Amino acid sequence: MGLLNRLDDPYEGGGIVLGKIEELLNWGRSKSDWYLHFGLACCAIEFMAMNASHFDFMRFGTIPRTSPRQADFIMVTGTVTFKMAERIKILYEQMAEPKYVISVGSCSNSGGPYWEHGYHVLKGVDRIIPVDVYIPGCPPRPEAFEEGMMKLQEKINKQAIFNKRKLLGTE
Amino acid sequence: MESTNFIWDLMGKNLWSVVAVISLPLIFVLIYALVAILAELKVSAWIQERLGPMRTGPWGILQPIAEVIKLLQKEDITPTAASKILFNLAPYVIFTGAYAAFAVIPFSEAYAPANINVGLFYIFAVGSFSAIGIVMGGWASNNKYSLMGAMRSVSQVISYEIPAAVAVLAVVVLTSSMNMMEISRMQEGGFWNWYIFGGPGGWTKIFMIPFTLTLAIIYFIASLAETNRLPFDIPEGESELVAGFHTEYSGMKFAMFFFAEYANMFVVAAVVTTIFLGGWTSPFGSFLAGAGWGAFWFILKSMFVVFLQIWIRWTLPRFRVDQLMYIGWKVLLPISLVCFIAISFFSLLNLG
Amino acid sequence: MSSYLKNVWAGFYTAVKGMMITSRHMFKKSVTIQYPDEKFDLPANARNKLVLDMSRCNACTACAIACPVNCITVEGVRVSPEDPHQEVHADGKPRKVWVTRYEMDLAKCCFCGLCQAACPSDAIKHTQDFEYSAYNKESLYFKYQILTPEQSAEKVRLLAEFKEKEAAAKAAAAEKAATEGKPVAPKKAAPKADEASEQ
Ligand code: SF4
Ligand code: SF4
Ligand code: SF4
Repeated sequence: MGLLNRLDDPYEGGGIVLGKIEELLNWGRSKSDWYLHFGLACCAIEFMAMNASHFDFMRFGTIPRTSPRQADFIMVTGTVTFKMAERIKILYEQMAEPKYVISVGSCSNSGGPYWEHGYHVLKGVDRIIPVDVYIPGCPPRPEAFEEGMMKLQEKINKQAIFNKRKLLGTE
Repeated sequence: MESTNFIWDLMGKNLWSVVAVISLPLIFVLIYALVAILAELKVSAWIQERLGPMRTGPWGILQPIAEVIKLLQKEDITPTAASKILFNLAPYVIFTGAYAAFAVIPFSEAYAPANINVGLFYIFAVGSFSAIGIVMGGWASNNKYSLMGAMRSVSQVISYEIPAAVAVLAVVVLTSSMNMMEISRMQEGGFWNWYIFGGPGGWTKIFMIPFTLTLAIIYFIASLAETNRLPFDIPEGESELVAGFHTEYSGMKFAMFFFAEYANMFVVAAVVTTIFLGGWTSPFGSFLAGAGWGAFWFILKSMFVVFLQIWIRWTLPRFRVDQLMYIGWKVLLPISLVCFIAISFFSLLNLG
Repeated sequence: MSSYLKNVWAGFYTAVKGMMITSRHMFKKSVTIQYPDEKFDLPANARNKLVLDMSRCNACTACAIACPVNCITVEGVRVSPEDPHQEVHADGKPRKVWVTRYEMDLAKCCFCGLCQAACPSDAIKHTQDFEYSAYNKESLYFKYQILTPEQSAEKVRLLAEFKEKEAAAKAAAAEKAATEGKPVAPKKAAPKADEASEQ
C-alpha cells in the first residue's frame, strides 16, 4: 500500500542480502500488527467473538491499540455512515506509515443493505481510504476475519522495501 | 567498603570497565523487556483460556522480536502543534529514569552497579523521573487526552509515593540502613529471615509479621500505581483517554515508553525483592547460595513479582479516579502509618 | 471505623479471590480453535458464500426479485427451438431459457437466504465456504453466466430469427385464414420471450 508498493521488476540490483533483510523486515511487520478497531455496527459484535477465547485474534500477533498513532492497520467493521466517514478519514490520516486497512462486512465493503437507498451510508469505505483486504459477509464469521488477517499478512510479506518487486496476486 | 562489583575486581577501574558496568543492566533490561512482553501476552491469554501469539515462531516466542522490528520501521510522527523538543525528549527522560534506578539494584552478592549508601532514597528520587517524563510527553503532545493522562499520572504518582515511602521507611527503621546491598545481606539465612516475615531475630519477631506483611502488600499496591499498571492505569485508561500520555507517540518513541514501563516494573519488583523478599539471598539458608546463585534467586524473585503484576493486571478492572484517590489517601496511607508506628515501637523495644 | 476496616478487608479479599479465580483459569486447557489448522464445524444451514448451479437456473428472476438488497442481476433469453445447441437441466427437463447474465455482488449481499428460499429449482445455494476475502472488490463481484457475450448475442439473434420466421409463418397462416374466412389464432410466445430478455 502507498509508497511501498512498487510494481516493477523483482531484485533489480539488490541481491540476496537485501532480499533477506527485506524478508526479515516484512516478517516483523506482518507478524506484529497492532490494530485500531473501528467498530460501527453489527459486524463489531462479531469482532468481539473473534477477539474472545474461541477464536483468539491475538494468535496472529495482533494487539488492540486505542491510539491511531500506534496502530498498523485499521479494521473498519460495520456501517460507515457519512458522519463516521469523516472520523475514519481523520483517524486513518493520523496513523503512522506503513498502514493498512481491512474492510469487514458488506456495509463497509460497498454499503451492504444500504447501497441502494441508504441516504446516510457511505457506499463502501474504499471511497475515502484505500482498502487492502475486503472481508465479505454480513457479518463475516470470526474465522473469516482471521482469514482476512492472513491475507493481509501475505500481502505485507510481498511488499517491496529496497527492491522493486511485483506484488503477487494482489492485482 | 568491600567490593560489590565483580567487574571492578576483574578489570580494574578504567573506561572499559565503566562501560561494562553501565551496559550490563542495559542488556539485561532489553532482554528482560522482551521476555516480559511475551509473558504479558501469554499470561493474559492463559488467564482468558486463550493461547496468545502462536504463529510467530514456535509457540509465538518470537513475538516481541517481531514487535521490535515492526516498531523500528514505523513512521515517527511529531505533531505539528507539538512542542518539538519536549515531545522528542520525553520518552528518553522516562527511559532514563527507569534505567537510572538500575544503578543501585543489587543483582547479586557480587554485582550491584553502584553500591551507594542511600540506595533506597536514590530509587525514590529517580523514580520520580518517570512522572516528569510523563508530564513532558503529555503536555508537549498538545493533545487534551495526553494532557489529562499526564495530569492524572502525576496526581497518582505523588499520592502513591507516600505510602510506598512509608512502607520502605519501616524497613529502613528495622535495618537502620538505606544501602540495598546491606539490606539484602541482613536477610541472609533462609526465607524466615526475610522482612516480609519480620526480618531476622528471635521468636518475638512474630508480633511484627502482620505489620511487615501488610507493609509489603501496601508497597506492592503502591508500586503498581507508580508504574501506571492496571488496576491503576487511569493515566492511559483506554476507555476514557485514548491512550493517555502516549496518545501521540508512534514508532520507536512509543517503544521507549513501552520499554520504560517494563523496566519500571522490574525496578519496583527489584525493590520489593530487595527489601521484603530477601534480595539475592537463597530462601534455604546456605543451600544454593553464592554470587552466581544470588543473581539467579534475585531474578527469579523479581520475575515472580513481575508475574504478580501481570496477574493482577489481567484480573482486576480499572479504578475510577476518585476510587484511586480514596485508596491512596484513605486506605493505604493510614494503614501504612499505623504499621510504621507499630514497627518503630517494636524496634524501640528491641523485639525484632 | 469498623465499617471502614470491613470495607478495606472486603476490597483486599475480593481482589485476592479474583486472582485465585484467574489463576485457576490459567492452568485450564485453552478453548481456542486454531483456525487455519483446525476448523469449527459449521451448522448445516450456515449461510455463507452463495454459489449458483448453472445447470439448474432457468433465469426466472425469482431470486433477483426476492433479494432485499438487489444485488442479483439476471437476464435470460428464450431458447430458440432451432438452436443447434440444446441443453438439458440437471433435473432432466430441457432448457427453455438461456441465462445470458447472472451477476451477484457478494460485497453487497447480506446473506439473508431469501434468494435460496425463492429459487424454484434449487439453483442458488448458500455454501459453507467463507474464506474468500479479497484484495479488491471486483473479485467479490461474481459472474456466474457461462455464455460469453458473443454467445449471448448469438442466442438473442437466433431467437429473433426464429421469431421472425414464426411471425412470417403466422402472417402466411393469417393470410390463408383470411382467404378461407377463419378466425386468426392469437400470438402468444413472442411477447413472453421479450419480457425475459428485458430483465
Ligand atoms: S455488513 Fe451486515 S452485519 Fe455488518 S454492519 Fe452491515 S448490516 Fe451489520
Ligand atoms: S442472500 Fe439475501 S442479500 Fe444475498 S443475494 Fe440472496 S437474497 Fe440477496
Ligand atoms: S430463482 Fe433460481 S432459477 Fe430463478 S433465476 Fe434465481 S437462481 Fe435461477
